[in-house]
Amino acid sequence: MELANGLVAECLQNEPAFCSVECPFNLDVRDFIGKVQQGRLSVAYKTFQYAVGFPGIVTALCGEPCKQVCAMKDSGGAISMQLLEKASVDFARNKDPEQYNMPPKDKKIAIIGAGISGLACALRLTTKKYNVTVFEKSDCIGGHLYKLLSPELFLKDIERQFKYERYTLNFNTDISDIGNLEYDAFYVATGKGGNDLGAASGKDGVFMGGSLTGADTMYAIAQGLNTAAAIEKYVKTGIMTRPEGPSGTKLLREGLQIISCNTVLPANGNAFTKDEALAEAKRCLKCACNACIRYSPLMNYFRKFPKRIAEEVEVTIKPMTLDGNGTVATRLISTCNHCGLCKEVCPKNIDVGEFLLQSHRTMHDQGAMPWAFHEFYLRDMDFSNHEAALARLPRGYDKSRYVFFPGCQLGASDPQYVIKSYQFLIERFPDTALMLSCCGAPAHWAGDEAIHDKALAQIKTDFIKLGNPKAIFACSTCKQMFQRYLPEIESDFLYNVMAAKGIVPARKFKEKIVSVFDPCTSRYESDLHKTIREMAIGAGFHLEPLPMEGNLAQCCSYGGQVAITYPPYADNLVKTGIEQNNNPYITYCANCRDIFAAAGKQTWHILDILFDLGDENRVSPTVSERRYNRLRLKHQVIKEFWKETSIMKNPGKELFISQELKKKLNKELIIESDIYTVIENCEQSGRKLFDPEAGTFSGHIQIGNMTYWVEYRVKQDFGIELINAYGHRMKIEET
Amino acid sequence: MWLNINGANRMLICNPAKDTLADVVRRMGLTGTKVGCNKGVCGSCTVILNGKLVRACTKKISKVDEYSQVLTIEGIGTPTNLHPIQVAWMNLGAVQCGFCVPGFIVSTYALLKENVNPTREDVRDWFQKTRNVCRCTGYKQIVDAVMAAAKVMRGEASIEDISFKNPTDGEYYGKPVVRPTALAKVCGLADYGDDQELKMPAETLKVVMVQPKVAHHAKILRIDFSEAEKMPGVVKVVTAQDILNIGGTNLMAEGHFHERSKVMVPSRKVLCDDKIYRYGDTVALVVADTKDHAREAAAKVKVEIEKLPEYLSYLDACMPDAMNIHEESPNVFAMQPVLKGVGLDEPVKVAEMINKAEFSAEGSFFSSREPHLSIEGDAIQAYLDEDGCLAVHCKSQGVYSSIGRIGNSLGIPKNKVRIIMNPTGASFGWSTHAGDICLAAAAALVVKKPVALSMTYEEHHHFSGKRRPCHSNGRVACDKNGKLTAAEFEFGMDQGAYSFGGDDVITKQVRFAFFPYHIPNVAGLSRIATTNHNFGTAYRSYGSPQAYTMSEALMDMLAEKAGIDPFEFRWRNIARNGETNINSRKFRQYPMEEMMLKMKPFYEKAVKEAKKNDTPELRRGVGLAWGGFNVTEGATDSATVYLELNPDNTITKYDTWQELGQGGDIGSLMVTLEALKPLKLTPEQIKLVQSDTKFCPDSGMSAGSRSHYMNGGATIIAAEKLMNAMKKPDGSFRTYKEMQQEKIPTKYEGKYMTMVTEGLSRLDPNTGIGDPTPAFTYALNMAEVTVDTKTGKATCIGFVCVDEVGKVGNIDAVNGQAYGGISHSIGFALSEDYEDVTKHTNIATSGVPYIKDIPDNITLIHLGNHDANGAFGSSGASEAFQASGHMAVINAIYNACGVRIYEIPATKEKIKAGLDILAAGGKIMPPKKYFLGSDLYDDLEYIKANPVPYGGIDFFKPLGVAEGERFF
Repeated sequence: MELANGLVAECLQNEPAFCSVECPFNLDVRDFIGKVQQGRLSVAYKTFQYAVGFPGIVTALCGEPCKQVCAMKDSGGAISMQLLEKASVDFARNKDPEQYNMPPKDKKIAIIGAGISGLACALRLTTKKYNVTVFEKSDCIGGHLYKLLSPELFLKDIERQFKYERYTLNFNTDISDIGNLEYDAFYVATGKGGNDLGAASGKDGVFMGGSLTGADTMYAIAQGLNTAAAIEKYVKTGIMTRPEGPSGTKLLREGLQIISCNTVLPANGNAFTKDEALAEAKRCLKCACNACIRYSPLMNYFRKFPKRIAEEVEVTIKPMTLDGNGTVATRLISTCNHCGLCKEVCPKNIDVGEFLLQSHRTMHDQGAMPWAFHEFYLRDMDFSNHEAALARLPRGYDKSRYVFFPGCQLGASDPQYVIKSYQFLIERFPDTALMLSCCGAPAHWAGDEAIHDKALAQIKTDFIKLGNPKAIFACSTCKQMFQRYLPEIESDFLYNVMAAKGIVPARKFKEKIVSVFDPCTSRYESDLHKTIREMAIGAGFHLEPLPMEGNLAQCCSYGGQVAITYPPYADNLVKTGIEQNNNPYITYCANCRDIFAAAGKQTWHILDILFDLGDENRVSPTVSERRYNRLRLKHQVIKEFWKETSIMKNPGKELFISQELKKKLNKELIIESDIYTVIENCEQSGRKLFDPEAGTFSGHIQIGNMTYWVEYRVKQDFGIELINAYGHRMKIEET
Repeated sequence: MWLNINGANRMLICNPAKDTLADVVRRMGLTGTKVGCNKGVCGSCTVILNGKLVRACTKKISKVDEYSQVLTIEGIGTPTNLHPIQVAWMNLGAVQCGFCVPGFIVSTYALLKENVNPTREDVRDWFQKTRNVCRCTGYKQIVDAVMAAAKVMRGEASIEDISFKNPTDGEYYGKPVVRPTALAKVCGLADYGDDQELKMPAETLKVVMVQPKVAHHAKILRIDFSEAEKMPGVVKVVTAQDILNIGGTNLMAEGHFHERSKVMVPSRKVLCDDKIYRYGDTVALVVADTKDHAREAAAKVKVEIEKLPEYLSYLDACMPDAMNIHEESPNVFAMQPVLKGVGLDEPVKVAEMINKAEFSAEGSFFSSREPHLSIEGDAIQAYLDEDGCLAVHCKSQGVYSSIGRIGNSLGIPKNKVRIIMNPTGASFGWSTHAGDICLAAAAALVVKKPVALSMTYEEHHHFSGKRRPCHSNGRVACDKNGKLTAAEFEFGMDQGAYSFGGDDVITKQVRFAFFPYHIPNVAGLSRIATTNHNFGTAYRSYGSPQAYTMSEALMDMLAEKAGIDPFEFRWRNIARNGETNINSRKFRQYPMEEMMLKMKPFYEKAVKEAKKNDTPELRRGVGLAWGGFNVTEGATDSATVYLELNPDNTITKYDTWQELGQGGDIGSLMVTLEALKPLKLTPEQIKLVQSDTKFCPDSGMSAGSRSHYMNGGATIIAAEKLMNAMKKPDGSFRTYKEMQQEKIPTKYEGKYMTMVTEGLSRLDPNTGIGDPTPAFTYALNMAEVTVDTKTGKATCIGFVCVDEVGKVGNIDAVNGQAYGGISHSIGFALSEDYEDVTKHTNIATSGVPYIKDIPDNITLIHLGNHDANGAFGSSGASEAFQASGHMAVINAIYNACGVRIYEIPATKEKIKAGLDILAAGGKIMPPKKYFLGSDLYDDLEYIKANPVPYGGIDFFKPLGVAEGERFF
């Protein structure tokens, strides 16, 4: 488990609640209250009953030490555990104990003292069908309880708990020496000031507890119950261990989400009604560390804590499933957006995202990751870094102080974003170079280090060529990638540069209420957060904060390119992203902008406002258009800034695609240029099938790992009409 | 010394202090003399010494006189000169795994020498006296074979009369074609694991496991190998650290089958280094030049432990304060509910219905940790083969799944592991686990030499998994007309030390409880817990006998309360066309009425006979039990085979239809013959290459009654491809030569997937609704039992089974499964157990049935209707036969003497105790309701309030969204 060791060791998921640690019985309060909260008082009663042995006596005498540590103590009052326990007793369907039908055990246990501690020990042992004999020097059971409670109450409780169990009780038997008694183990609970019969000196098989050891009533009962477990271990293994006390909790109060709420008081003054009990129970936070589940979209969606994730990943990387394919967490590993929110919200800063990235790499190295998860975007990256790539100094310069690095998606969204920005920069810093390429994020997310290294090497070469300029980023993901992999390159954000140069928004809005959606990779860029907000205010907007902004920024779903791996998760993420409030958003990441706009959310890119480009309803480009835009951008800047002729390769015949089909192709990530390649191949090779009835041709070729099928009609003089196209994750064996 | 062996004087060199007669003849290469138990209780080593039958495994050579005459199986007949006994064995279905066959044939030879005209009872008395055990058949076929051979020997019939003849019309399907492996088996020439070991190259090292057998649960403080390492001949003591050193994880792969499973990380180590979780755990392997050296050294390994509290039953493990046996997961680690009718609205409504019903019955039941008791134990060989692959020869229910289970435990990639099946002396399920393979393979990888590991029977018995014991509570109700209205039940299954498949087996009880009746309202739950006993594994009828232990008892109990005859009561409640099972889905077939009508005359006759012959000393009764099982592993099952046309125009079939005695060889042959019928082939023209992963594609496991169904489907596909390729335009077929000339490929793959069947789905983990099988098999059992009131001993004297397994592919193979299943059922009901590890150390002390424990009077009726989905109309023919037969016996005991056995096995002591109570005018108190971890309805409510996402048809999808796109 080396990969996951840190995660599991640090995680506080399983730390007990503060109250449970204080409870003499270590009652699992979260479990108990959880059942009360659901109205399942009978089930809650059983939990309580087994934990304390004598529920009637304990509810009557419990001193509620838990109240001292309750997280609600100063937020409306500590939870009234005693009243809740009492409610569970009052409203239980059946107050009788469970009947345990187990084979009788052949071990004989003697208990000296029929006080409540001895009886607790007897109860637990008889439940497990040990042969128990209790010796009592007086003529009654209950010991010091006579001083605390009415005999009617405690005798009734004792009788009920022993309803199905049998033991031998010897009254008026004062044991002064156990040497001649033939038993497998002894529990000496002779009460305050009683005879310890040598137990204190550590005699084998002789245990002691109760008031004899100075314990108060609650602890006396708890010791009886716990010692029963120790005795069982002793008679089974011959090993003597003292019952262990609670070991404390590492739980942190900081991680809790406390909402102040006043304690519920019983209307009749001494006992809850069922509704009152439920209301009081609902106040309980069931103190547990679950910040990751509350905040991280991934862990929230799958309801999985780091430990479980680590386990699933572990058995995936080291296949331990019966079919040996280790597919348990393949999808989970590839579904992480790598947004960093989990680490941010975890009180121990456990970085599940980084763990998943490492795991992804391991899986990739093993060839165990489905290629389908990332092939599309790796091909897309390849496109950005070749056909659409550019790295140039401005005319007349042989080196530059700055290079504008807009990233692959800004121009893909709208080439004007890049052109206008570069224009702005070159007017202020005439030696600013331009670099159109990808920062390598798709390869980073794919865990494909070989491809990633190649991309990084190309960037380095280009930077040297440009004279090692400072990078100006439009995209916070690019900046994050550079900081991690090319830390030697200095950088700043376009928007900060613009702000410093006193940009005035080209478009003004009057008192329009909007919210700024921070891209997840800008999480720790607080200056940038401020800049963007000032720009928005400068444009006349009125801003309302989002619940998840700044250092709590959530991914729009693009990160990690999870939409292919797990569409329902990505859809859910988009939905939670846009439903944070009803305001239109302003963002400064092209992907956030286009994904939200495509989902029907009015969203501006900040550059829309600064340069008066698109509006908040601009239709997001399709995957084909995104490619085309990048190519267009490259040719356009060459023409505009370098005054060179640049001719885009003209496809031979025009391709007609209906809007309906375009939508479908976009959804299935089928690029029109690929379709073109298939059709060209069909036409040139003649490997196509003709359907005389429909007058259409069909054919297929494999591109990368995908096989693309097209169905088309050749229109006389009008190019080609695409009827349908689809991609299969398969290879066709040609025979 | 000199011995006259099979007629010739032969000199042998031996160690009189140690060697047994079996050692000596086997060393001479006469490995037809098999050693099973090595304790003289199974009879497989029987030889004739100076005219007398002896058990060669216990006969010390020092007690054998010079020039004694020894007759072994090899001396009785050879493949080219078969003895009539051997012919009879081959042709009358008496050969299944074949391990006991040489012993039986030798024993028969002696019998017929003494009495060439025995009655069937004489034959049975003889084998009872000679203690020859067969675990595969129901002994009936063996008696048939002896009678036929005797007839030939008396000259009343010819060899041809008792031999199967190829039909002239090419219609082989359904006929008793002789298994291809039978010939070698009856001649003692089939080389099982131990025989392979003897025949391996001289440099082969021997491996002995260090199985401390000191505790069920303990912390390992220290393992001291120093002395062992110094022992003569020791090459290496292999420990967990050695496995880690070669890059292994030392952790065997385990499945994660259920959305509710709380076990994620496998717990099963190849070699234990920190804890012992069960009695049979192994901590090291000693590799030495000889087995004796390895054994002596293994005895010198000192294991220092600190005992931990052990939980040996579900009831202990599920107590609220029980410690977690595996720290990472609670003891009760998975549960599967089933809800139907009002139970789906609110589970507790089912209880209310039962409370208010006209009649209701309730009870708590227990079924035991049934051991498989194959006569051959466990022997494995491992080496690095010519391709640099780790090759392991073993017994395996699934050669490919074994590779999956080895997983990364040994640090060797899957494509570098080659699993080859040895001729196999049965398994019945235990060899689905690859723990044994891991041991031998670890040794081979560490010492980089060929190795052989052969466990003693006792080592094997403690090492291999068993059927999961199960506690259950149930209630069932009917209206005044005896129509079932509602049932509630809960199961607590004991998974033992390792989670292996435990979260899968819980889906069986919630499918087969009250199968195949129609009950409109159901609330049920099955739970599984880790304990420190032996781990639960596959066993024929996997998970269903536990269900019938409850439901078929309750059916009788309720019939009695309603005052209706048990047959009539069942007749009123079987599902009719369109009525649903407890998973709210239609049955795939409705043969129930037809089956009951077939059974009716047998039942009426048996009841009459029982009444007539009932005496105070020997009570007699009749019991019924309905049962059945699924076919295939469910919606994601698939199987692949190859068919190849050979240069001589014969056909080679490649598959991994693992032959464990059930008929993997003959099954494969039958479906191939049938699929290629247009080619007009004879059985001799089909060559089988089976169960070697180097050559054979993955046809899946020999389990789940799936082989015929799946492999048959795949064979049809491959055959169609091959025949299409061979077909000429005129409709005739190309020869191999013509195919070559036209450059047409001659080898074709067929892959069959259950996905093609409509409506398949896994069980919903929240409701138990679902339809996970493309076909069912059905069995209606009737047992006739006598109870000796003096001793309490119950004996099954007659058994009738009416079944529906679709079209019969090979009558002898199907009968073999039926008789075998029934004999295991009777053993399960009356004697078999693996509980007390100090007592249950071999097949005899674990209660294996001898011939007189199984009735000669067994009637099988196969309905044989065409199955809509199965290959050639066959479905599956295995598990149904062992699913509920035990309850026919238990119900018959009650019918005979009024003693209901709630906790099986029904030993004579338990029955006697009941009889004594009744005789004293008392009432037998049934067991109190078991506490299985929490209240049934509390758990059902909890599950309802906390549904888990349904993982869809894939097992391995804990991310859990059915609509999530599937990539592979």
